[in-house]
Amino acid sequence: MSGTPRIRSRSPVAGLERARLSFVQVLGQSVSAVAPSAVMVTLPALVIPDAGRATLAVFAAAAILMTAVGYCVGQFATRMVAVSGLYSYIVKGLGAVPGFAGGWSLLVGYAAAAMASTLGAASYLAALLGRVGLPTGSTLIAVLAAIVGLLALLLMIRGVKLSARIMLAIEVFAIVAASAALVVAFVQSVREGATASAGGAKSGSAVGFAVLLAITSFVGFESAGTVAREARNPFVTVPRAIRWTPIALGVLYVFAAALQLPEPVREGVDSLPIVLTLPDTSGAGSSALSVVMELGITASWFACVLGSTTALSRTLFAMGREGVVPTVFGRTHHRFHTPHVALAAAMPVIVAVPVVYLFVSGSSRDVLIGLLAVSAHGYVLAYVLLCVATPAFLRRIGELTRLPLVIGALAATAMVALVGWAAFSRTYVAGAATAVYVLLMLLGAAVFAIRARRSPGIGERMGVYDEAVADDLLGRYRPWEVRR
Amino acid sequence: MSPDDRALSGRQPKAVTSALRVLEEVARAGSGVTAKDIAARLSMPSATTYRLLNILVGEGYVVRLPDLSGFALGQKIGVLVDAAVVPTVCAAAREVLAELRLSVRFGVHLFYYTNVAVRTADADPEYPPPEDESFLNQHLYACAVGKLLLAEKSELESVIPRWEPRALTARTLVARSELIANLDLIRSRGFATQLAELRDASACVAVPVRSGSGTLVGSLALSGHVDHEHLMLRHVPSLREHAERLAPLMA
Repeated sequence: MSGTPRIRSRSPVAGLERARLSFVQVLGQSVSAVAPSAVMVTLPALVIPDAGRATLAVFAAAAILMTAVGYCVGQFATRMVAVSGLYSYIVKGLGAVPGFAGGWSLLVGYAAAAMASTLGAASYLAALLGRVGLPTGSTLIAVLAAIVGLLALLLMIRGVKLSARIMLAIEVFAIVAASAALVVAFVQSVREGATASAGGAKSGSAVGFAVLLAITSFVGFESAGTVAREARNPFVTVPRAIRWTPIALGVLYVFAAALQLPEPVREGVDSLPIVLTLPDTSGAGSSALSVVMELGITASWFACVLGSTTALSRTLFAMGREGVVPTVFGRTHHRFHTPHVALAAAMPVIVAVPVVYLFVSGSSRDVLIGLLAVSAHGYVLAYVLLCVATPAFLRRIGELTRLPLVIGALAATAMVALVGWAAFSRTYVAGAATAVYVLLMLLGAAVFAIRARRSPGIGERMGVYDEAVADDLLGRYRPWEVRR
Repeated sequence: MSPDDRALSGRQPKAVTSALRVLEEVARAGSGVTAKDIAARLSMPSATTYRLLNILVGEGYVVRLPDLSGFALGQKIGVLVDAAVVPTVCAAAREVLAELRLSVRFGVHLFYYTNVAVRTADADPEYPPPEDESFLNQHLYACAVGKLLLAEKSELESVIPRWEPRALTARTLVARSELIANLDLIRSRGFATQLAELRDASACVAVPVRSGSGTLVGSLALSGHVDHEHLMLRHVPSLREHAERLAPLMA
């Protein structure tokens, strides 16, 4: 044996808070980045026209696929405490260049999701204010977006524990509110004699596209990995959160989709509403319920801002520590132990892009769809790379067994096939979102090329994680002494 | 042992036995052993071995080294080591204690510290301490030797995970803020006191014994009646002097 490998005395990600979050708070990170309450009232309405009666099966299939991705993420999460989640995992499995591609893609995913959520929160807030007579319009939304961004930034700089706690409370409230509204709308429509039928699926490839769309309603579930250092017992809590989130979301979405199968429910829902309205016939009681639900969805979008930006900032922080992006991003606040530079740099962009986009396009719905589409591209590439990286990583450390190999290969193949299949469908237009995504990836490649030229050994330093330090080993242990 | 006996499954309750075997093997192999090696040496199915190793890593008994393929024993094993070690006091240290005991009319006791606990090393046979070691460890916040340990920590939670103290007497510090203020005082004065906080009539003054590098390894304590508090405090300089003489004999 060549002896002990080089052990540092200080973790490369030192500075971030350590061992603070409970399992529930880690779960809060994952759940809020997904924003399930907002998804459950909007996404089934998008999927149903394409998938028809197969909708429930589509959501079930997406849940199974995401559970498989979760299994792969779990293989890494039980072995390394990474602060940048999938980015460090892919680097460890496939090396620097694919790792950077995956990490950058995920940054695009998180950033676009955070932008969409900021706009979502601002739009819902504007609609709520509209109910009391304030003139709704792009200017109001822009002001509200700035307020949302500032509030989120302050919360996240103040501390991960505080924001994780708020996120989960918000999300639970929003899910209950959205479920109540859906049940009321469903009961209403059944009483009016509507049958719970949505017709057949359009075509095979439409179903493929529908599954891909359904997958986007799960993205963000892997972000528990980004708060691993900040979690208590990260090797236990993080894999558990990542394993259970897709299953729980799958159940929730199938339930939400089932309630939205009758035509009249979706009439109120529109295809992708900024504000979900219940049928007028529902009476005063349901308009109160609408307000509660709007509050819930606003809150959920806000939690999603927190969740996505938290994940984004931790990934940027890790890249800063490695020197892949300017090292200033790798700083932490001396009192709150949060990556305040990464947060402060990201937030203005997250607010400005959707606001500018909104003024150009004029429709907050278009902006929302556009941003979510870009975001979905980012996540899907990262997931595919991760599934490929899993067996490669396990092989490298000599722990490859059959199950991760099979699941990793199947999940990666299924996702690639799905993208291909969906591309054949008429519904799928490789439009502006794909173009924007490709441009952003090229920008990433340029950033990486420049940084790699400036410091040649960068590949070696990539993939930082909270590795074992001398103090973690028993070797240095003295029984008769008190450590601080 | 037949090969069948050694082919352990990951299922309960055999899993416990298997996990302990894995732990033993990591200890025996030394730092840097790989999962594959452990599976081979124990003739255990590799998937089981990997799963058990990951559980042990999750609990902190085993640490995955930075290359991600090597394993070593983790700090958590220190809990077992702490419980197993017994303080030994060498003859030279006993002489120092005997000398001190001749010069004062209070109980003179020597304690060792593990990272999170107090251990009685040499209690005064003539004036035995009023409480035993396990009682002191349950009420670290109420005794002088315990407070010395707490004052050493940057976070109270590392020794007392949840602050739910029991008022042993009317003077026990039950408010967290009061205890923290008391610990600050201990840090600035360099010794700790217990004045009717553990028992109504008892008092104690404890000075730290520190190693050459400044870490806390033990404490020298004087115990007596609370009415003699001022007399006991007068002995602090002498206690310090003896603690300094004990330091090289203990660390």
